[in-house]
Amino acid sequence: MKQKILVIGSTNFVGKCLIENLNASDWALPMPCTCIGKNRKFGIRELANALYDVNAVINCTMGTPASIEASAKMLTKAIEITNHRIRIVHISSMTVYGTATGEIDEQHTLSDASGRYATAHIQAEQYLADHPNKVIIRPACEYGPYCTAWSERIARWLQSGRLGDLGAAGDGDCNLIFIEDLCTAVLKSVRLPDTINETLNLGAATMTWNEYFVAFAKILGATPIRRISKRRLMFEQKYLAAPLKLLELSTQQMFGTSSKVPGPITSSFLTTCSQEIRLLNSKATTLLDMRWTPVHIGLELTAKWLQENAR
Amino acid sequence: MSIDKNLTWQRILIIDAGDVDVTQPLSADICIVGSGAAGISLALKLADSGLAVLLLEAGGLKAEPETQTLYSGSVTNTLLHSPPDTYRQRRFGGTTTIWGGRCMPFDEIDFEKREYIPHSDWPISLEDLEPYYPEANRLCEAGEYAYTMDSAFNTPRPPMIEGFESENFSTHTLERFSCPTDFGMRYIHKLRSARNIQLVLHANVINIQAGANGKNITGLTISTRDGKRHQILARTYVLATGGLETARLLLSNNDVHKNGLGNDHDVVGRYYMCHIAGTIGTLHINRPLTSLWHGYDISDDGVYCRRRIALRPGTQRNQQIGNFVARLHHPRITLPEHKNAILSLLYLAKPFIPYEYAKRLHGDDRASFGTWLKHVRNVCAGPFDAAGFAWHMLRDRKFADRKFPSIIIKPKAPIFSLDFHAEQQPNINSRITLGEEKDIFGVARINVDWRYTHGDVDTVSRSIALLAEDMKNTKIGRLEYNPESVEYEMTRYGAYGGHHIGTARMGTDRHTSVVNSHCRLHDIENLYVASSAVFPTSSQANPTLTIVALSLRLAEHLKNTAA
Ligand SMILES: Cc1cc2nc3c(=O)[nH]c(=O)nc-3n(C[C@H](O)[C@H](O)[C@H](O)COP(=O)(O)OP(=O)(O)OC[C@H]3O[C@@H](n4cnc5c(N)ncnc54)[C@H](O)[C@@H]3O)c2cc1C
Repeated sequence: MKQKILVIGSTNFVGKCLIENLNASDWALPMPCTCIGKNRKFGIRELANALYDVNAVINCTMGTPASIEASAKMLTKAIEITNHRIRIVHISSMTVYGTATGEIDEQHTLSDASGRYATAHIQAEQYLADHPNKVIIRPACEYGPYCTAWSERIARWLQSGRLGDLGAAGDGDCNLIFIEDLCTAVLKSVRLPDTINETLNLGAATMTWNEYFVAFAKILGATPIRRISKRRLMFEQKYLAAPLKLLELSTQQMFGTSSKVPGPITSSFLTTCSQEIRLLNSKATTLLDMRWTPVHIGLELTAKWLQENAR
Repeated sequence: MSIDKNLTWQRILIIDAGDVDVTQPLSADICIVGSGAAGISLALKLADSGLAVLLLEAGGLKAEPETQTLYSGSVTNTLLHSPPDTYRQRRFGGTTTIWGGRCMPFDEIDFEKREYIPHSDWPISLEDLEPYYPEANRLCEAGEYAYTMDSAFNTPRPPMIEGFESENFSTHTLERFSCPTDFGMRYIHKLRSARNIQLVLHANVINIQAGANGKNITGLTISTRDGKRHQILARTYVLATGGLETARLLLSNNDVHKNGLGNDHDVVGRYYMCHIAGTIGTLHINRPLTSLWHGYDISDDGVYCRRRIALRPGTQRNQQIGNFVARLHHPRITLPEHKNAILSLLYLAKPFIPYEYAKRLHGDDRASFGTWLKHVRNVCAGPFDAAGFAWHMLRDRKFADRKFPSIIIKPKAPIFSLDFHAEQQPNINSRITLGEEKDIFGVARINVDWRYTHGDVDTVSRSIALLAEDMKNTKIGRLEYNPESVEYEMTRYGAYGGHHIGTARMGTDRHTSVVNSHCRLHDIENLYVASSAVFPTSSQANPTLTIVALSLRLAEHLKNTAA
């Protein structure tokens, strides 16, 4: 009999991918669940009821910091109600390491220095801290089909010449996780023995951000790649970021999508591009027996998907 | 000495020598002197290696005239060589703060022992450097390590000169251009974030102490300009002070080694080479302008690339001459007869162009008022051309981070001059010596006695003659020039500025070389040189990419030996 897997956050890009992967498996039956936001269908009680009926929960809530925190809180409460030691796979983020530099394993101190998302992810992890049967996954930047932030958005910027070789500003380590690898890791985590209570880094840095942009631009045909000057980046941050963010939010509000809006190149994006942080993922590699997709293959697949889904 | 014991200073990553506590010597595993292309590449490669690295820099973060004068010295023949405080920079980033950024690797033939070029033997081959060139390319921001049209471009590009097929010359090799990258400003954040590197500014190395047996270096003395001195201790020392200053430092430290460090056989400072370069003749091409491409191609990674007419290795061997490349060039700027508004604008802009670039653009000749007036007339006759060019220079050069590398003028007819860049042969009598005069630290200033040979004239004359013949035989065009003028043209502006090569050459024989194949002084076990000073020959190629590749190779050697 197939295992029922509750997926909280099933409508975001990771959730969609997970549902696809679970459906494609011969052992799982995904149960989509939205318990946060406008379209929410689950309150704490409904969630608790649902927990009786499933074999595992995947929490991949994204969106605003508030929703990340709220979903983890709800899940914890629901578990308390049911007193059910169900397997939870919670998707956190590498932002919990803040502005740390160097090689970072899962033991590294957490820090909210990189902003509200980091605070929310740390808080969410803390809500779940006492649950004994869980895998917390801290993924690097997700790229691949469906990935808005690190694939779609970057592709748009590269194609419009707003992004390119950033010089020193793009020398940071580009920690990436291909979306399919993330899904594989989550699915494998669901099936780990119940005795496992682990936190895993997913993804690694095999190149700098500049190299990622050049490699991606080449595959997209967005060449010759431009050198983006410091002056230009400063202008983007100082004068364009705020109005573009406003435009993005209002378009999202009005039309439900903001994919046609150029999107701001924010200072947090640029901080990521210059951060010299290298995630160590040997624990995940061994525990989950992962075979990571090489970046050039991941990028080829991403470009193909973007072409087929050109909006 | 391990990095942990140095933690107190490791936390202060960039300091000024003036702020250092003089009661405590600064110590490290590896001390690198000089933060130009060589020193910074070496330090970056040693980042996070677990070895404590001290990077000493004579200058500050910006140009300082008082520091720059420490580079001044004398020149035996001022018509043949520029003053030693020009064409190099004593500051953080070194001469990469003003370089042009032209990058290309040495050719295989450059490393060979060529019987027809005296002293032309490298103890390493291209194969030994090839693993380091891609990373050198990255550090220079010159894109991929791809130096032929086929390897650099996926899509076919129009030929340089349609129909020009020659047994003697190829037109498919490339030079790639760095931004040009100022290594100091570009990589300062990397030096800062490396936990094992400390950069000390205003640290002029004024003395290198050899142990009593002369077999090792026991310390260095640094001084600030106002005389604050400090002792440096390290296990290994690397001089990355450029081709001229390396010779100066080796020669001037002569208390234990009476002739100077590494100079028991009187080789230090000798074999001094630059490149032989100039502009000559008028090349009339019998093809429409549409069949010619003399400008830049931009590679996918955004790097400016340019094709050249390169003398093939087989022809070099047959003709027994050195390496040589040429480019299609605009007419001489100084002559208003070209009637070109853009060239005349450049002529008139001379006061705004840095000395190092103005020299070859305009020469040192004093123009008459009449000539000046004719240039003004040219500009007035083509105001739109001049304005368009000025805009292009502002947008693509002045305000661009990746700068358009040089001046390319689209001619109205297929007529060009020929710009050449040739190998200079090693010549024992071309040399750097110590002069009588001393700097504020009491270190003798250098005298430059640069000389060329018949062999050099031969390389250029025969290459140009061959090219003229090939143009004629293939009916591509005709190169008009006066063969008698070759020697004059190749030395019109003296030695090519900024390429300081050969003064501490690499070799296996301590009687004819200074360092071994790992750039270590033959008889001093902990002193190395990272610089074009170690090149035994000069190639046609500009030196920096190879300096960086050699520095990366040296870094690996130092890591291995430390392990
Ligand atoms: C106008 C110009 C254009 C050029 N264009 C090109 C080009 O297109 N392509 C190319 O390949 N090359 C070019 N070059 C040459 C290029 O700049 C040099 O090859 C390169 O900078 C050499 O690097 P380096 O590290 O050996 O020496 P440098 O860059 O000169 O660095 C030496 C460093 O040592 C420091 N130093 C010196 N003495 C002491 C001391 N006693 N104590 C402490 N520190 C000291 C100096 O301050 C300096 O920072 C050009 C040069 C010039 C001048």
